[in-house]
Amino acid sequence: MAGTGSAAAGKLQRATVARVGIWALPDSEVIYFNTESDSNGDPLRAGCSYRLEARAEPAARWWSIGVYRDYFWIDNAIDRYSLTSSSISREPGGGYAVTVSTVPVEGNWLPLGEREGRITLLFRLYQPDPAIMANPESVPLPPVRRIACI
Amino acid sequence: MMGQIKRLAPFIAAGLIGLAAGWLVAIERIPYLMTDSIFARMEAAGAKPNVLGKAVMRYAKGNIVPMANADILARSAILDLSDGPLEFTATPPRGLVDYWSVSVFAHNTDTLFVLNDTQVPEGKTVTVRLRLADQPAPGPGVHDVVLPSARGFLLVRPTMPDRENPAAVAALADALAEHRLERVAAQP
Repeated sequence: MAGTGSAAAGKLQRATVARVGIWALPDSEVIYFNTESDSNGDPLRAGCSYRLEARAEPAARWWSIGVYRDYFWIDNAIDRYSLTSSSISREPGGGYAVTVSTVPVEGNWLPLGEREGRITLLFRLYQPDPAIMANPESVPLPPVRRIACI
Repeated sequence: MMGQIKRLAPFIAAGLIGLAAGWLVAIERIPYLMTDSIFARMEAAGAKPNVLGKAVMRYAKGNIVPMANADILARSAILDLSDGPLEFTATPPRGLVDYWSVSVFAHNTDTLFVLNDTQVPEGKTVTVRLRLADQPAPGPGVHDVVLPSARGFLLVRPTMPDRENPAAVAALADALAEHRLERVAAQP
Protein backbone atom coordinates (compact mmCIF):
# COMPACT_ATOMS: atom_id res chain seq x y z
CA MET A 1 0.00 0.00 0.00
CA ALA A 2 2.25 2.78 -1.22
CA GLY A 3 1.37 6.24 0.08
CA THR A 4 -0.46 4.78 3.07
CA GLY A 5 0.48 7.42 5.61
CA SER A 6 0.90 10.35 3.29
CA ALA A 7 -1.31 13.40 3.47
CA ALA A 8 -0.90 13.56 -0.30
CA ALA A 9 -2.77 10.28 -0.75
CA GLY A 10 -6.27 10.50 -2.17
CA LYS A 11 -9.22 11.19 0.11
CA LEU A 12 -10.61 7.68 -0.29
CA GLN A 13 -7.29 6.10 0.65
CA ARG A 14 -6.95 8.46 3.61
CA ALA A 15 -10.44 7.55 4.80
CA THR A 16 -9.72 3.84 4.41
CA VAL A 17 -6.42 4.07 6.26
CA ALA A 18 -8.04 6.11 9.04
CA ARG A 19 -10.55 3.30 9.52
CA VAL A 20 -8.20 0.32 9.42
CA GLY A 21 -4.70 1.69 10.08
CA ILE A 22 -4.88 5.13 11.59
CA TRP A 23 -1.64 7.11 12.10
CA ALA A 24 0.26 5.15 9.48
CA LEU A 25 3.60 6.64 8.46
CA PRO A 26 4.63 7.81 4.98
CA ASP A 27 6.60 5.56 2.61
CA SER A 28 9.95 7.05 3.56
CA GLU A 29 9.47 5.61 7.06
CA VAL A 30 7.34 2.52 6.54
CA ILE A 31 5.91 0.61 3.61
CA TYR A 32 2.96 -1.61 4.42
CA PHE A 33 1.93 -4.72 2.50
CA ASN A 34 -1.23 -6.53 3.48
CA THR A 35 -3.17 -9.52 2.26
CA GLU A 36 -6.45 -11.12 3.24
CA SER A 37 -6.04 -14.09 0.91
CA ASP A 38 -3.66 -16.97 0.37
CA SER A 39 -1.61 -17.62 -2.76
CA ASN A 40 -4.62 -19.34 -4.36
CA GLY A 41 -6.71 -16.23 -3.84
CA ASP A 42 -8.87 -17.77 -1.13
CA PRO A 43 -9.68 -15.69 1.97
CA LEU A 44 -7.51 -16.43 5.01
CA ARG A 45 -9.46 -18.48 7.58
CA ALA A 46 -9.00 -19.19 11.26
CA GLY A 47 -9.63 -22.89 10.62
CA CYS A 48 -6.65 -23.22 8.28
CA SER A 49 -2.90 -23.23 8.73
CA TYR A 50 -0.55 -21.34 6.44
CA ARG A 51 3.15 -21.38 5.68
CA LEU A 52 5.20 -18.39 4.58
CA GLU A 53 8.65 -19.19 3.27
CA ALA A 54 11.16 -16.58 2.15
CA ARG A 55 14.65 -17.17 0.81
CA ALA A 56 15.79 -13.64 1.52
CA GLU A 57 14.87 -10.73 3.73
CA PRO A 58 13.57 -7.43 2.44
CA ALA A 59 16.06 -4.58 2.24
CA ALA A 60 14.82 -2.53 5.16
CA ARG A 61 16.16 -1.40 8.49
CA TRP A 62 13.54 -3.40 10.41
CA TRP A 63 10.52 -5.42 9.39
CA SER A 64 7.66 -7.37 10.90
CA ILE A 65 4.83 -9.69 9.94
CA GLY A 66 1.64 -9.31 11.96
CA VAL A 67 -1.68 -11.12 11.90
CA TYR A 68 -5.02 -9.49 12.67
CA ARG A 69 -8.63 -10.52 12.97
CA ASP A 70 -11.14 -7.80 12.11
CA TYR A 71 -8.17 -5.37 12.18
CA PHE A 72 -7.19 -6.13 15.79
CA TRP A 73 -4.62 -8.40 17.46
CA ILE A 74 -5.76 -11.97 17.97
CA ASP A 75 -5.84 -12.92 21.65
CA ASN A 76 -3.68 -15.98 22.36
CA ALA A 77 -1.98 -17.75 25.26
CA ILE A 78 1.53 -16.42 24.53
CA ASP A 79 0.45 -12.86 23.61
CA ARG A 80 2.19 -13.06 20.25
CA TYR A 81 0.75 -11.01 17.42
CA SER A 82 3.74 -10.69 15.12
CA LEU A 83 7.27 -11.74 14.32
CA THR A 84 10.02 -9.27 13.54
CA SER A 85 13.43 -9.07 11.93
CA SER A 86 14.93 -8.83 15.42
CA SER A 87 13.09 -11.81 16.91
CA ILE A 88 12.48 -14.24 14.05
CA SER A 89 14.54 -17.46 13.72
CA ARG A 90 16.42 -17.71 10.43
CA GLU A 91 16.95 -20.75 8.26
CA PRO A 92 20.57 -21.87 7.69
CA GLY A 93 20.53 -20.31 4.21
CA GLY A 94 19.47 -16.92 5.56
CA GLY A 95 15.78 -17.05 4.73
CA TYR A 96 12.94 -17.66 7.15
CA ALA A 97 9.73 -19.64 7.42
CA VAL A 98 6.63 -18.74 9.40
CA THR A 99 3.62 -20.87 10.27
CA VAL A 100 0.32 -19.10 10.85
CA SER A 101 -2.11 -21.46 12.52
CA THR A 102 -4.49 -22.08 15.38
CA VAL A 103 -2.51 -25.05 16.66
CA PRO A 104 0.94 -24.21 18.10
CA VAL A 105 4.04 -25.30 16.19
CA GLU A 106 7.72 -25.12 17.00
CA GLY A 107 9.69 -22.16 15.70
CA ASN A 108 8.26 -19.09 14.01
CA TRP A 109 4.59 -19.47 14.90
CA LEU A 110 1.93 -16.81 14.56
CA PRO A 111 -1.25 -17.74 16.46
CA LEU A 112 -4.38 -17.48 14.35
CA GLY A 113 -6.96 -18.07 17.06
CA GLU A 114 -10.12 -20.09 16.68
CA ARG A 115 -12.76 -17.48 16.03
CA GLU A 116 -13.64 -16.70 12.44
CA GLY A 117 -13.34 -13.17 11.18
CA ARG A 118 -11.58 -11.07 8.59
CA ILE A 119 -7.98 -12.28 8.79
CA THR A 120 -5.23 -9.94 7.58
CA LEU A 121 -1.49 -10.47 7.33
CA LEU A 122 0.44 -7.21 7.46
CA PHE A 123 4.07 -6.85 6.43
CA ARG A 124 5.78 -3.67 7.65
CA LEU A 125 9.11 -2.49 6.25
CA TYR A 126 10.65 0.28 8.34
CA GLN A 127 13.03 2.62 6.53
CA PRO A 128 13.03 0.55 3.36
CA ASP A 129 15.81 0.73 0.82
CA PRO A 130 15.25 3.62 -1.64
CA ALA A 131 14.88 1.05 -4.43
CA ILE A 132 11.87 -0.39 -2.59
CA MET A 133 10.37 3.04 -2.11
CA ALA A 134 10.71 3.63 -5.84
CA ASN A 135 9.19 0.27 -6.71
CA PRO A 136 7.34 -1.39 -3.80
CA GLU A 137 6.16 -4.20 -6.08
CA SER A 138 9.77 -5.41 -6.32
CA VAL A 139 9.78 -6.64 -2.71
CA PRO A 140 10.04 -10.46 -2.66
CA LEU A 141 7.15 -11.13 -0.29
CA PRO A 142 6.73 -14.75 0.79
CA PRO A 143 3.72 -16.49 -0.73
CA VAL A 144 1.03 -17.44 1.78
CA ARG A 145 0.67 -21.17 1.17
CA ARG A 146 -2.27 -22.98 2.72
CA ILE A 147 -1.17 -26.21 4.40
CA ALA A 148 -4.43 -27.61 5.73
CA CYS A 149 -7.88 -26.68 6.95
CA ILE A 150 -9.97 -28.17 9.71
CA MET B 1 -42.37 5.14 -21.35
CA MET B 2 -39.71 7.35 -22.97
CA GLY B 3 -41.69 10.40 -21.98
CA GLN B 4 -41.75 9.28 -18.36
CA ILE B 5 -37.99 8.77 -18.35
CA LYS B 6 -37.49 12.23 -19.85
CA ARG B 7 -39.68 13.78 -17.15
CA LEU B 8 -37.80 11.91 -14.38
CA ALA B 9 -34.32 12.53 -15.78
CA PRO B 10 -33.68 15.81 -13.90
CA PHE B 11 -34.71 14.17 -10.61
CA ILE B 12 -32.50 11.12 -11.27
CA ALA B 13 -29.57 13.39 -12.14
CA ALA B 14 -30.14 15.47 -9.00
CA GLY B 15 -30.28 12.29 -6.91
CA LEU B 16 -27.02 11.02 -8.37
CA ILE B 17 -25.32 14.37 -7.79
CA GLY B 18 -26.62 14.34 -4.21
CA LEU B 19 -25.26 10.85 -3.65
CA ALA B 20 -21.88 11.81 -5.05
CA ALA B 21 -21.75 14.92 -2.85
CA GLY B 22 -22.73 12.87 0.20
CA TRP B 23 -20.03 10.35 -0.58
CA LEU B 24 -17.38 13.07 -0.87
CA VAL B 25 -18.46 14.65 2.42
CA ALA B 26 -18.41 11.23 4.12
CA ILE B 27 -14.89 10.32 3.04
CA GLU B 28 -13.71 13.79 4.07
CA ARG B 29 -15.22 13.33 7.55
CA ILE B 30 -14.17 9.72 8.22
CA PRO B 31 -10.60 10.54 9.39
CA TYR B 32 -11.94 13.12 11.88
CA LEU B 33 -14.56 10.69 13.17
CA MET B 34 -12.04 7.86 13.55
CA THR B 35 -9.66 10.14 15.44
CA ASP B 36 -12.42 11.29 17.78
CA SER B 37 -13.61 7.72 18.29
CA ILE B 38 -10.15 6.47 19.26
CA PHE B 39 -9.50 9.53 21.45
CA ALA B 40 -12.77 8.83 23.28
CA ARG B 41 -11.73 5.22 23.89
CA MET B 42 -8.24 6.29 25.01
CA GLU B 43 -9.73 8.82 27.43
CA ALA B 44 -12.14 6.20 28.75
CA ALA B 45 -9.07 4.06 29.40
CA GLY B 46 -7.44 6.87 31.39
CA ALA B 47 -5.54 8.97 28.85
CA LYS B 48 -5.54 12.73 29.45
CA PRO B 49 -4.97 15.42 26.80
CA ASN B 50 -1.42 16.80 26.63
CA VAL B 51 -0.08 14.05 28.90
CA LEU B 52 2.40 11.61 27.40
CA GLY B 53 1.16 8.10 28.10
CA LYS B 54 3.49 5.63 29.78
CA ALA B 55 5.46 3.06 27.80
CA VAL B 56 3.58 -0.09 28.70
CA MET B 57 3.24 -3.41 26.95
CA ARG B 58 -0.09 -3.70 25.17
CA TYR B 59 -2.13 -6.84 24.67
CA ALA B 60 -5.07 -7.97 22.57
CA LYS B 61 -7.42 -7.46 25.48
CA GLY B 62 -7.87 -3.71 25.68
CA ASN B 63 -6.28 -2.93 22.34
CA ILE B 64 -7.91 0.24 21.02
CA VAL B 65 -6.08 1.05 17.79
CA PRO B 66 -6.83 -0.98 14.62
CA MET B 67 -3.83 -2.64 12.93
CA ALA B 68 -1.51 -1.43 15.69
CA ASN B 69 2.13 -2.48 15.64
CA ALA B 70 2.59 -4.98 18.49
CA ASP B 71 6.35 -4.48 18.52
CA ILE B 72 6.59 -0.86 19.48
CA LEU B 73 6.61 0.27 23.09
CA ALA B 74 4.61 3.32 22.19
CA ARG B 75 4.24 6.55 24.07
CA SER B 76 1.52 8.83 22.81
CA ALA B 77 -0.47 11.91 23.66
CA ILE B 78 -3.77 13.38 22.58
CA LEU B 79 -2.94 16.99 21.76
CA ASP B 80 -5.12 19.96 22.62
CA LEU B 81 -3.40 23.25 21.83
CA SER B 82 -6.35 25.44 22.83
CA ASP B 83 -4.48 26.81 25.85
CA GLY B 84 -1.09 27.24 24.24
CA PRO B 85 1.81 25.42 22.61
CA LEU B 86 3.55 22.31 23.90
CA GLU B 87 7.08 21.01 23.59
CA PHE B 88 8.15 17.39 23.28
CA THR B 89 11.72 16.56 24.30
CA ALA B 90 13.48 13.22 23.98
CA THR B 91 16.83 11.57 23.52
CA PRO B 92 16.40 8.64 21.13
CA PRO B 93 17.41 5.48 23.01
CA ARG B 94 20.34 4.28 20.89
CA GLY B 95 21.36 0.66 21.34
CA LEU B 96 18.00 -0.35 22.78
CA VAL B 97 15.94 -0.10 19.61
CA ASP B 98 16.15 -0.99 15.95
CA TYR B 99 13.99 2.03 15.13
CA TRP B 100 12.64 5.06 16.99
CA SER B 101 10.58 7.94 15.71
CA VAL B 102 8.29 10.69 16.87
CA SER B 103 5.44 11.67 14.62
CA VAL B 104 2.66 14.24 14.81
CA PHE B 105 -0.75 13.88 13.19
CA ALA B 106 -3.47 16.40 12.51
CA HIS B 107 -7.07 15.89 13.62
CA ASN B 108 -7.79 14.56 10.11
CA THR B 109 -4.87 12.06 10.48
CA ASP B 110 -2.56 13.91 8.07
CA THR B 111 1.07 13.23 8.95
CA LEU B 112 2.52 16.63 9.85
CA PHE B 113 5.94 15.62 11.14
CA VAL B 114 8.20 12.58 11.44
CA LEU B 115 11.69 12.45 12.91
CA ASN B 116 13.55 9.17 13.35
CA ASP B 117 16.61 8.29 15.37
CA THR B 118 18.97 8.22 12.38
CA GLN B 119 18.23 11.93 11.89
CA VAL B 120 19.41 12.77 15.40
CA PRO B 121 23.12 12.79 16.34
CA GLU B 122 23.89 10.19 19.00
CA GLY B 123 23.20 11.43 22.52
CA LYS B 124 21.48 14.60 21.32
CA THR B 125 18.14 15.63 22.76
CA VAL B 126 15.50 16.72 20.28
CA THR B 127 12.84 19.30 21.01
CA VAL B 128 9.66 19.64 18.99
CA ARG B 129 7.37 22.66 19.42
CA LEU B 130 3.69 21.88 18.76
CA ARG B 131 1.66 24.98 18.13
CA LEU B 132 -1.10 26.70 16.23
CA ALA B 133 -0.24 29.32 13.62
CA ASP B 134 -1.07 32.19 15.98
CA GLN B 135 1.04 30.81 18.84
CA PRO B 136 4.72 31.71 19.32
CA ALA B 137 7.31 30.01 17.13
CA PRO B 138 10.34 28.40 18.79
CA GLY B 139 13.91 29.59 18.66
CA PRO B 140 16.66 27.98 16.60
CA GLY B 141 17.38 24.30 17.09
CA VAL B 142 13.80 23.42 17.90
CA HIS B 143 11.61 21.62 15.37
CA ASP B 144 8.50 23.65 14.65
CA VAL B 145 5.23 21.83 13.94
CA VAL B 146 2.20 23.98 13.20
CA LEU B 147 -1.06 22.10 13.58
CA PRO B 148 -4.04 23.24 11.47
CA SER B 149 -6.37 22.90 14.47
CA ALA B 150 -6.08 22.48 18.24
CA ARG B 151 -6.60 18.72 18.18
CA GLY B 152 -3.89 16.33 17.09
CA PHE B 153 -1.89 13.31 18.12
CA LEU B 154 1.74 12.68 19.00
CA LEU B 155 3.15 9.16 18.73
CA VAL B 156 6.59 7.84 19.71
CA ARG B 157 7.43 4.49 18.10
CA PRO B 158 10.41 2.67 19.59
CA THR B 159 10.68 -0.93 18.38
CA MET B 160 11.14 -3.56 21.06
CA PRO B 161 14.06 -5.90 20.36
CA ASP B 162 11.79 -8.76 21.43
CA ARG B 163 8.47 -8.24 23.16
CA GLU B 164 8.89 -11.68 24.73
CA ASN B 165 12.08 -10.58 26.54
CA PRO B 166 10.88 -8.78 29.72
CA ALA B 167 14.34 -7.52 30.75
CA ALA B 168 14.94 -5.86 27.38
CA VAL B 169 11.45 -4.34 27.40
CA ALA B 170 11.96 -3.00 30.94
CA ALA B 171 15.29 -1.41 29.97
CA LEU B 172 13.64 0.29 27.02
CA ALA B 173 10.72 1.49 29.16
CA ASP B 174 13.21 3.07 31.59
CA ALA B 175 14.92 4.93 28.75
CA LEU B 176 11.61 6.13 27.35
CA ALA B 177 10.55 7.47 30.75
CA GLU B 178 12.88 10.43 30.08
CA HIS B 179 10.69 11.66 27.21
CA ARG B 180 8.72 14.76 28.10
CA LEU B 181 5.69 16.66 26.84
CA GLU B 182 5.27 20.01 28.55
CA ARG B 183 3.40 23.24 28.13
CA VAL B 184 5.56 26.09 26.89
CA ALA B 185 5.90 28.80 29.51
CA ALA B 186 4.23 32.06 28.55
CA GLN B 187 6.64 34.73 27.28
CA PRO B 188 7.01 37.72 29.61
